[in-house]
Formats: sequence, structure tokens, C-alpha cells
Amino acid sequence: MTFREYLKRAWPLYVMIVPGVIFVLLFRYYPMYGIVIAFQDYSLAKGFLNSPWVGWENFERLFSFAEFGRFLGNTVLIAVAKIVADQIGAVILALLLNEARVILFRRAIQTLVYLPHFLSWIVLGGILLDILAPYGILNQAIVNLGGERQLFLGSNSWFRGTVILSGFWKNVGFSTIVYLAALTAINPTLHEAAAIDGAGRFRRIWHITLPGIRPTIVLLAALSLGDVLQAGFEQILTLYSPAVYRTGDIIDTYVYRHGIVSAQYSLAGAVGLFKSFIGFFLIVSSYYLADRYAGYRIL
Amino acid sequence: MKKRFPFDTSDLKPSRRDFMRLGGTSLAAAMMMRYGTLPLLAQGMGDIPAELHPGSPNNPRGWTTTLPPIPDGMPVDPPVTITGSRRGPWEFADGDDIENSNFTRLNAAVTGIIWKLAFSWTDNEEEVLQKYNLAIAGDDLPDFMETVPLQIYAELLENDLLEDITDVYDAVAHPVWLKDAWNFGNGVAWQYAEVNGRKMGLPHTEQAAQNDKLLWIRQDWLDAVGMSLPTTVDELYAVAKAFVEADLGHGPEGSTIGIAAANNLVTWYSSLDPIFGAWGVMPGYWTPDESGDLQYNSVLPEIKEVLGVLRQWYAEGIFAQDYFTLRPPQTAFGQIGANTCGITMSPAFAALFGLPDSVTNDPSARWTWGDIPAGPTGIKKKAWSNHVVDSVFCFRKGFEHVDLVLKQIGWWAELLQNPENRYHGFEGTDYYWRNDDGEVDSMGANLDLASGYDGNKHIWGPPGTNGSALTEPRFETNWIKHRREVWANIPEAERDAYMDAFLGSDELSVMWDDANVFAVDRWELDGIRNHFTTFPTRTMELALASLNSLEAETFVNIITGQVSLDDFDSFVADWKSGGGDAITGEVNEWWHGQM
Repeated sequence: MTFREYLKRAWPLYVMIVPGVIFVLLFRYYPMYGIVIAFQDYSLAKGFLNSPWVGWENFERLFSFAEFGRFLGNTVLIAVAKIVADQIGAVILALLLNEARVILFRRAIQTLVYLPHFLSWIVLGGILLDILAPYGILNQAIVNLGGERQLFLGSNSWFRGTVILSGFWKNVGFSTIVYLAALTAINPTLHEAAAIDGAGRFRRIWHITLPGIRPTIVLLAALSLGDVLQAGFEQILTLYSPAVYRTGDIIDTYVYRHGIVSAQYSLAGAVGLFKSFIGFFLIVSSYYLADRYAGYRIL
Repeated sequence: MKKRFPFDTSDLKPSRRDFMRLGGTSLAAAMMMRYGTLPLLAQGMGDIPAELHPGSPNNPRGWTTTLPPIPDGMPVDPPVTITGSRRGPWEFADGDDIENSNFTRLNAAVTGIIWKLAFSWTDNEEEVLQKYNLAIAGDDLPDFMETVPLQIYAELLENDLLEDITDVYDAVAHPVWLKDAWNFGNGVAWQYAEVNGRKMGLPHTEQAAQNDKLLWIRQDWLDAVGMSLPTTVDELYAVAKAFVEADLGHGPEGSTIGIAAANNLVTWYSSLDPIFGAWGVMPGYWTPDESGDLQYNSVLPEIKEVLGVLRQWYAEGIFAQDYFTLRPPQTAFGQIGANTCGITMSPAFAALFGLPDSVTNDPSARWTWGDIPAGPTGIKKKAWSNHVVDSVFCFRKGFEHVDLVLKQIGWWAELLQNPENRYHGFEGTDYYWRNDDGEVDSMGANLDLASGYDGNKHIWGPPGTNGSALTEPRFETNWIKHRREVWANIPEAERDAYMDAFLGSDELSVMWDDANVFAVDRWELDGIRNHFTTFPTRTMELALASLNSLEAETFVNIITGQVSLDDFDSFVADWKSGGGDAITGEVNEWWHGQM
């Protein structure tokens, strides 16, 4: 088939992807031009073209904050813990749901666990503040069981755990959906054959289900590496207080407090670019790893 | 930065509550006959059609609103169209909208100005910035810009996009309701709007003493422990301790809180500013020292003393264990309203915010209020609430009709703020006439105009702005005094429905009135004022976030006992070396340049 023949046959397909390409170019690539403000002392009235250039000054400021090490550490720690908890939890939850026999039960649980995903952190934060208060329901339960009241949101020993667990609660249901979809793609004849060979439930999960969704697990884990600096701005902003700055302050909350002093578009731009750069680097390397160990590649 | 009161304060005014109480007013048929046929009075405003008038002269026991004299040269002919931005939300009945309502129709008849809406916002934190940023970036500024936030204002000034209105203002501004009103307190109103002696916009001012604290305390709990209203910090501590030990609260056993406190020590509700004030200092504020230099209060030795006191109180259970995670409304509803706490240092409006919930949840709850407590050396001070909001009403550079807008604003300021005008909004828009007995009722949450100004969101200019902008800072107390001194002397039988709506209030509303008048009387005497009132300095932009984080973290950790009290000294050293000294220098450079 010559190229001409190919074009004659396939041109409608190319026409069909044109709107998508235009969309991506217009809304994903064109705005990247705004990255220039990270290297400017940006003023709205002067615009992109006339704001004075300041080189790396915004980045130098970001790296020279006295608390830089502390908030970067908190960010990475919380984000990584969240990614790990989210991935593992989602796989386990998907397997459990997949094994449930009663469809209605499965659907009900699935709906319940992903319901929190649709509530904003402002709402969930209010609920959590109530639940976790010194005389809230959780502490009352602890006291009734003979324990001591804990400041889940106010003490440095609890705060990260509270953030990670509440983030897990909100997000795990949604992450589960992709795994459930992947599970349906596993050929049921494999299960039937294994069952005839005498494999029990756990054997089948181990030898059939898990290998079946391995590419999905690796892919999602790889992609989520790009989020390693996304510790959850809204969540922490809703839950934290000065008492837990030591363990809970992340890049975004710190810059947010900084930005309140004056409109610091350029600093915020620099922070965004810094986070994207780290994320990009991690995604590229994880893509390489995914290709190498899971045989996953785009092209 | 000053903490803004985050709610629409129209919720806090007496009007709706007062109106809702109006259920049982009855009236003789004779009265109806007598007032039912009042002629339409135009009050010397022959050229303003009667149907455009506010007031309800044609109803039984109705009243007439007096319109101020029409400004010179108005209404302009042909009419002038002016564009302006607005802060929402708003709600109109029956086909009216922001550009065509009772307000704009009356305004057009009086002034000849036709207003066109350029853009609007309802979220006053972020959306307002986006909208103004868009207008700047798009080079499409409206003629008149409502409540421009300070950072946008700075941007506009820097790029010479604002009209200098000094000369026009001197020539045409209303002598009483604009000039006198904004000169109140040595012209502090102009702190943002005036730049290098030139007026670059109009001030955004609110009610005086709006956030000035008083001591609110449960009288029935005082009786229960056999104590009286505390007047000193020591007595306050003793009472709080007694409340906690007697466990008078309604929560689980042992959960009674002595004194309500919130995440910020100096804040707008359940604040501890009077405790710091009792030692003559205010964290976060800049005040002059003996030599006349401004000093940053948070690093003074007195602060250490107060932190020591608060630390002891926290250890003894006077404050909630997690007080530092609570926002002020959570103390109002979760502690005061839930009756787990019987003491809060909050503004006069506490009588309408928090306390009503307390009484609803526990009908036996009796509240009382008193002055803030005095310190060990007899000092009695509190955070002075600035009635000047950090936003400005601006005019686009090159706009030709500044004089017309100023005249309009003066006319409305007089109409809305002079109690003698008996302005209560428009029937059918702001309130409705409920029945033949002359009962009036407000029309809903967004249309609460009953107390005279705060709901007048529907005309362009300071007294009409959503979010309680007005020009006369003592408006609220003038209005209370007018009611008490003039109306109360009118025999009950001769009162009209408007008077009925406001006289004979319930206990909490009366307390609110009393507390309000008291707070305004003490406003200038007891307030510690933050003297740093300009844009952040260069070093502040670089270092203030770090310094503020350090301060907040150190203070809360000292109070909760996580670190020792002496950590305060290392905080002071870190503050100074971390940019504090440089900031102090810059602040004083500005301060001395002022004088």
C-alpha cells in the first residue's frame, strides 16, 4: 500500500483527531508561554511582554527560605505516604470488591467508598474537625475504651498520620475504579481452568488476578510519581494550624501564606515550574522503569 | 494583615430579628381610617414622581421618607451613562435587576445618571482579584470601581490608571455626609485613598468599633458560683476557673471551657486581645515607643509575661485543649452557642452572633456584658478596630464625570444615614407590608435593609456597597440614640409602623444596642491602634511570611507547653536577625516620613 493509498483510506481518522490536537495545543501548550512570569517581576498591568526580567531571582528566593528544608521534607514525606497508601489500598479494595458475590452489596460499597471524592476539602475538613475534636466522637470512643484523649489535628505526632489517613479516605474509592475496570478485562476462562486444577481463591488472586492487572498497577504507580510534590494543598490548609507547622507545613501552604502579604504571581509561578520540573523528571524516569519492568510503552 | 469580618454583616443587624418579632402588633380600626388616606407627600420634591419615593405613606400607619435637596445642577440633561463594577450578591423581584431597580430609577430622577454594570463578583477574597485583574489586563476599566482591593489599587496607582479627584472632591463633595464624616478621627479614613496628599479614590469605611471587644459572660453561671462580673484579669481568671471546676457546661463530663479562644490570639470573635491589652501591648501591632519610633509589639518583654499567664491558664484547662485549631465562628457556635463555655471577649454583635444560639439551646441561659478587664497595673486596653477597610472606590483615569458621581454619593449618604429622613428602603423591594394592621416584614436574607443602610446594596457608591460600607462611622449608634431619644418619647398610640418595628426589643437586642453605644464611646479611649497602615515594605515581602510563621508557631507552642517560656527569647533573637531589624528600619523610615 502506498502512502497515497493509505491517506485516501485513513484521512477521516486524521480529521477526527484534529479537534483534540487543537484542544491540547490551545489549552495545554499555549498557556505554557505564561511560564515566563517565573523569570520576571511580573506586573499585571505591564503584562508578559513588558514586565522586567529578573533571571533566577524567584527561584533563589524559594530556595533561600529559612524553612525550605522543612516544608520540602514535609511535602515529599506526606505525598509519598499518600501515593503508597492510595495505590496499595486501591488494589486491595479492588480485589475485595471483585471477589464479593452479591452484586448489590458490591455496588453499594463501591458507591460509599468513592462518595467522599466528590466533597470538597472545605466540607470534609469541617466534618473532620468535628470528629477529631478533643470531645469529638473519635476521642469519646477512645476514652470509653479506656484510652486517653488525643489532639489529632493539634499535635505534631499525629498530624501527618491524620492527613495521610483522611486523604486516603477521600481518594481511595476513586482510585479503585480503574483497577476494577482492569479486573473485568481478565479472561474468566483462566479462573475457571485454575479452579478445575484445584486452585483456591488466594491462589487464583495471586497467580491470575494480580499478574492480570500488573501493567495497570505499574502504570498508575508510575504516573502518580509525578505527584510526589503534591501533598494536598486544600486539605492541609483546611486542617493545619501554627502548632503543626513543624510537621504539616508544605510548599503550597507556605507560599500561600507568603502570597497573602502581597500579590506574588512570579514566586507562585516559580514554585509551579519547580514542582512541574521535578514531576516531569520523575515521570520520565518512571516511564523508563515501566517500559523496562512491565513492558509498558506508549509507542 | 487585618482579619476581615468574613460574613455579610447584614446578618448581624437587628432588623430581621426585630421584624420577625412583630407578629402580634394590633391596631384599632380607627387608626387605619386615620392614616389610611394620607395624601401622597412629595416633601418639596415636586419633580420626583411619587411612585419613585421610598417609604410607605399610603399604608395604614405608614411613614414618609424625606428626600434630601437635589444637588446643584441635577438632574443632568441629557442623562449621562456611567459604567461601574459591583460586589454581589443581589436579588430583585419582578423583572428588576441591578441596572433597573427602585434605586436606579430614583437615582436617575434625582441625578440624571444611568448606571451600567461592567462586571460583578460575590466572593470578595479571590473572585474580586480575578475580575479586576482581567479588567486591567484587558485594558477595560469601568468608570467607577467599587471596593478595589489594596493590591489591585497599588497596581493601578503604579501604572497611572486612576483619576486624581482631589480638586473635584474639594469643590462638590457633601460638606456633612462626605467631608465631615470622612474627617472623623483626624481623617484616618483617607489612609489608603490619599496618596502623597492627593485623593486617588474614596475611602471604604465601616461602622466604628465594629470589632472592639467587650466581656460577655453567663450571668446564671456567675450566680451559680456566687461571683460577680469580673473587672480585672485576676478576677476573670478566678471566675473562669470556677466555671471549669463546677463543670457548668453542657458537653460531656469535664468538657467545660473557661474562656473561648480561637486560632488567632487577636481576632474578631473570642479574642484574647484584651488580655494582651491589660499589659499595654498588642501582638502583631506597631505602636510608638517613648522616643517616637514604631516598635513591633510581638517581641516586647510584656508579651512574654502575657504568654506566661496564658500558658498557665491553658495548663489549668481554662482554654479548650484544641483552641488553636478553631476559627472564630467555631467558638461562637461550637462553644458559646453549644453552652460549653460561659466567657468570650467578643464585639457588641456577639448579642446577635453566638449568644442567640446559646439561649435557643438552653432557655435558662442568661448573658450579661461588661467592660474588658484591667491588668495588674490597672491598664485596660484592647485592639482598636479600624473602621477603614483596606479597599478603595476608584475612578478611571480620564473619566469626565467624577463630580456627578460625588454629588450622587453625597445625596444617598444623606438620605440613608440621617435618621431624621426616616429611610427604610422601598416597599416591595426591601420590606413588605404584611397586613392592614401595619406590620412590616423584611423580604429575605439578601434584602435586609431594615436598619437603614447596610442592605442598601443596590446603588453605586459607598453607602450602597454590599458589605456594610458607609460614610459616617457612628451611623449605627446615631441611629440607636435617635430611636431611644426621639422615638421612645412618642406615645405608643401615635407611633407608626416603622417605629413599632424597632421599639420594644428583646433582651439580647437591647443588650446589643447598649453594648454598641458603649463600645463606640470607649473606641478611641481604650483602643491600641496599629500605626503601620501602608503597603508592605520590601523586606516584608521577602521575609514576613517566615517571621509570621515563626511567631505563630512559637506563641502557640509556648501557650500549650510544647516548648519552654524562655523560647520566647530565642524567638525575639531569630525575629530580629531574620529580617525583623530591617523591617523595623523600613517601617520607621515610612513612619517618620509621614510626619
